[in-house]
Amino acid sequence: MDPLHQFHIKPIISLVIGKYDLSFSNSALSMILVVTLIYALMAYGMRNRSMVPGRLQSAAEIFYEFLAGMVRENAGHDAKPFVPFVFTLFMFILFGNLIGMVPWAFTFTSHIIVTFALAIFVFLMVTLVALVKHGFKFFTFFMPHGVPIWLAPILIPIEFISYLSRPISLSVRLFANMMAGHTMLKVFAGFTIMLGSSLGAMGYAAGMLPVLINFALIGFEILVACIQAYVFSLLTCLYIRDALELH
Amino acid sequence: MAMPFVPTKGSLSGSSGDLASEDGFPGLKNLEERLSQVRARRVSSEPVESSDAASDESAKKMLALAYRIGTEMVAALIIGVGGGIAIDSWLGTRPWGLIIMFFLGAGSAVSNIYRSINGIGYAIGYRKISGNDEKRQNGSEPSDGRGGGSES
Repeated sequence: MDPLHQFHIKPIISLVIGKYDLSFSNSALSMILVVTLIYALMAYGMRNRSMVPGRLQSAAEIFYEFLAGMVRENAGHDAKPFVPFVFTLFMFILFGNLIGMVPWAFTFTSHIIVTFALAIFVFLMVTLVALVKHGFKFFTFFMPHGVPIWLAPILIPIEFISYLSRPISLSVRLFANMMAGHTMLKVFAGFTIMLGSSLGAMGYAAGMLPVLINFALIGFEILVACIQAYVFSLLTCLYIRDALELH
Repeated sequence: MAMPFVPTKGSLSGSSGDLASEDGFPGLKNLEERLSQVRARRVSSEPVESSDAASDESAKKMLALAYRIGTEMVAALIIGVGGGIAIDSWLGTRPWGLIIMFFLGAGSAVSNIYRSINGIGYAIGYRKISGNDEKRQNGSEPSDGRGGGSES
């Protein structure tokens, strides 16, 4: 009955080395499942490479075209080497979100440590790309052009905080949306059970109402799952563009 | 014979039968033309799309923007307040680090939101909009869609 019970990490194969708990958990199982599914879609879908694509090949091509287009539009032409990265990121998050919509499945994107790991990787990569490409010119990033010099002591910290807030906003957005959505579904489902157990037959009749709400919410959650994957990879593209061009 | 033909959406329509006919490959004549069209689409930042797809795309971008704004603010405040507390416990300047960093965090929260609404031309370290930038900015700005930039 606890609506947060669905987020519990349960070790499947316990493994503790020294101080570190390296158990194979349901979260890890879910990630491996997602990676397997993506690989299966891509490898099995593209096995024929026919001119007129079949259903799976079509799906694989749509994903590729969509992401390649997104990187081209939002990150510029120099960002072509980053297409595989953004593609991997998008597919991992999208499939992770969507597989969480299957009953009894575990949603690993509802854990902030997972989303933060993804976000900090994007952040470090973008910073390194900017540093390698532009060297010390990177630090002019924090001082917008045409600003009077006496504003620098205020503006540079503000820009720096703004830059540091990128991985936080990336990870919190994804985690909060997934966790809130799944909790809400569980809370509404819990209403039905509570009504039924306390009011009997009349309660079950009234319990139809939360079911109807859940029916709408599940559709909404699937939309959120796709939109969040899109937002995450879109922002990655924008950050890559910032790093490459540095204005 | 393997054709150097890229099957993107739209380019196959209507003329796919021409390729199959034997008498001198009439499809090959406009194949070059279509190839250059596809290549132009690869190079230009504005994909050629119908207005229906464009409005669908802009709705998706609006929704994506709406999801961005709230967390942009919270994230900057988290960094500001968290950094302030960290500075205080490190240097023992309680409560001044928290107070100053809170206001700086709030400032960057507001500027984060201002930037995400105005599009990427206002990204951190924004210098000036060159011609190239302006074009791309139109593509990313939800209100504009892709009405103007397709002449490139």
